[in-house]
Amino acid sequence: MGSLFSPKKILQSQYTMILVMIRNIIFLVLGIMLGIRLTDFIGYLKLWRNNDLRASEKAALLKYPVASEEHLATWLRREVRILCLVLTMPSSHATKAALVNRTWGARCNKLIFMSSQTDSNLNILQINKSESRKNLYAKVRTGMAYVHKHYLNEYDWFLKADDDTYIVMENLRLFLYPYDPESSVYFGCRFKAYFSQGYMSGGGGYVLSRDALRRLNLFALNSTTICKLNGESEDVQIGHCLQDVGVIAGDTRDFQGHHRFLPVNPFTVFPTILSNSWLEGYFFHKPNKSDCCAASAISFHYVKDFEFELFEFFLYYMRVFGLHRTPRALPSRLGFRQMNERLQHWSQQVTDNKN
Amino acid sequence: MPRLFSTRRLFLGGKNAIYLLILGTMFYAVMLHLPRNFKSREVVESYGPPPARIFCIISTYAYRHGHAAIHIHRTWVRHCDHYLFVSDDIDNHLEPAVFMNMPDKWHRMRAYLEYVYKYHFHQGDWFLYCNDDNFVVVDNLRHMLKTYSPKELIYFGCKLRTTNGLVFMLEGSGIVFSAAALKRFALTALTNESICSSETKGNDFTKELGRCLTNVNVIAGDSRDEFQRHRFLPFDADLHLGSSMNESLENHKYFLDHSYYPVNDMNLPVSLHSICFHVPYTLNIYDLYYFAYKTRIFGVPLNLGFENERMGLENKTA
Repeated sequence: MGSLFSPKKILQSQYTMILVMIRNIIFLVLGIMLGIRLTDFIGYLKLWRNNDLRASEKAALLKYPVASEEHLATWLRREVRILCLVLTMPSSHATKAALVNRTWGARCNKLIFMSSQTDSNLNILQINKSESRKNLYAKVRTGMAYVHKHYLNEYDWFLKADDDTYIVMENLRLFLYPYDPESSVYFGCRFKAYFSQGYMSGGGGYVLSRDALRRLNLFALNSTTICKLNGESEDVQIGHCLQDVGVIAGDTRDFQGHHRFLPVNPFTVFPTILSNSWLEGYFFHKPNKSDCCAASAISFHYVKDFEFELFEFFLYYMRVFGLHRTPRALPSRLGFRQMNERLQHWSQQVTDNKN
Repeated sequence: MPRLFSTRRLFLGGKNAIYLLILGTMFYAVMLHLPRNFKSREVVESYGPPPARIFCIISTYAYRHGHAAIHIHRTWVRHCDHYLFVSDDIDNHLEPAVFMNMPDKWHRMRAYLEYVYKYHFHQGDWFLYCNDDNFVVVDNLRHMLKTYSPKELIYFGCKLRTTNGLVFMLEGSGIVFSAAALKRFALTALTNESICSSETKGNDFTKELGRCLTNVNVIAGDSRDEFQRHRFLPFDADLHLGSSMNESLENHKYFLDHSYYPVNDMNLPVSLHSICFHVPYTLNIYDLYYFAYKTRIFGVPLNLGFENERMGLENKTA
């Protein structure tokens, strides 16, 4: 009679507690399932990342039927055909020229020495000019004309070097592979000059594309107004000629800004390039003084006689156990539009070296 | 019917914002711990037993800290498992162990080895002693020592012998001691005057070292490779690679007279897995380090097995 705890209400409260307990159990089970699923998802993310790496490597290997880097280098030797023109003189035939012939010159597709006297041990193009610095330009012109006349269509790139240059031909082929030899471009160690494009250091070696060599011979060397003989250095004059006939100076640095072509011996740029040296002021692209050189080095200059064998041993034969890097595939060849964009970018470069 | 599955809690607001914030933080923390660094290391792990730990002892002097030892500190010495510079004065960068008032080389050598045995013996299986004008490819040394045990009584270097048959190692081209050899030298040889003399020996201290180690049954090992090419080179790399030895030079004549192995045509065959070079101009260490560890040629493999080794050899001789 008017009691607060009626039997009906007590039964309803018990029923509610049972339902609340059921709800809690359901939520707990769902939470556990969600947690387990989340753990699987995290594991899936890790596996997916690992699979992604393997997939990219697999794609890189499937891009070419021969996966080995050694096989690619052998194939590259026939794909990027480089004719090497090496300036020498009779007093260097038995020393520097013979060393070039035995070391890096043997890896050229064709090797031609330019000298004033012939030699039975070397493939010499005899140029009847006295050996002096002022005749270097005329010598190089004669060599370029000869190569243009006889070998223009048999080779893709034409390298000019001195007999105290050391060229890593495999890295040069790897560097040149993406570029079209019918585009008007040349590569080397780019120096500043009084003309805007600059020139490539002669001693560090420069490499002309087929179209560059064609333009040089058809438009420049046959002209009486362009490329007149003057007192400048051979490489400055060649650089000026090539700019006048529309050949673009390419950028040979790697993606970290390290220089692949060196105009000096590497023994003079480590650990730092000395301040106020002649070298610091010559570079078109300002080098990082304490980290100047690329891992994919191509050229060294002022190489002494014994250093040819030293470079040969350390670069090709010396083995450091445990040193392992991912095998590389060849980069893609640039299409017509991409090549034009690259040429445009190179032609618009200005020097950042204010020394 | 009470509302057991309330829909108000699914909307953002009030306590729900706090719960969602906590959940988001947890999710972010989980994503943060996912491994994102798949960069390949410069030197990868090798299969099989762990490689030997190499403790490097670099002997230098105070007047050479700034122009010789500091460049070693920046280049090849970081490939050692542990290293210690020993000198006659302190240096902030090198932190050498200092041994003063010891003019004799043999006394210094004894002190160095005793110090290393007392305080650093637990840090290495092999102990490399060299000067501050050496360039050492420590990874090639580690590979050479794979076939030896640090429990063997053996030491390596550029092997020489005297006319009466005493075998010793050339000074200046690196000497490698096994842990057992160093222990026996420190415990048995140094404490016994009849086995190992403590008199001054001058420039002949490596001879005395060879005599001491022979007296305690430590073997002078053959450090050449399987083609009898030398790994510990007595002179500069450019001399061994591009030139010849000259009998009219005193140090060349000394080596030619005392060399343990025969020398043909004034030339030593150089191993493709060379270990120790002498560097006359210390800044050239950066160049050798650049050539050995940094430069990379397309198509030239960096880690050859045995079969490719022969191919490389044939290409070289062709």
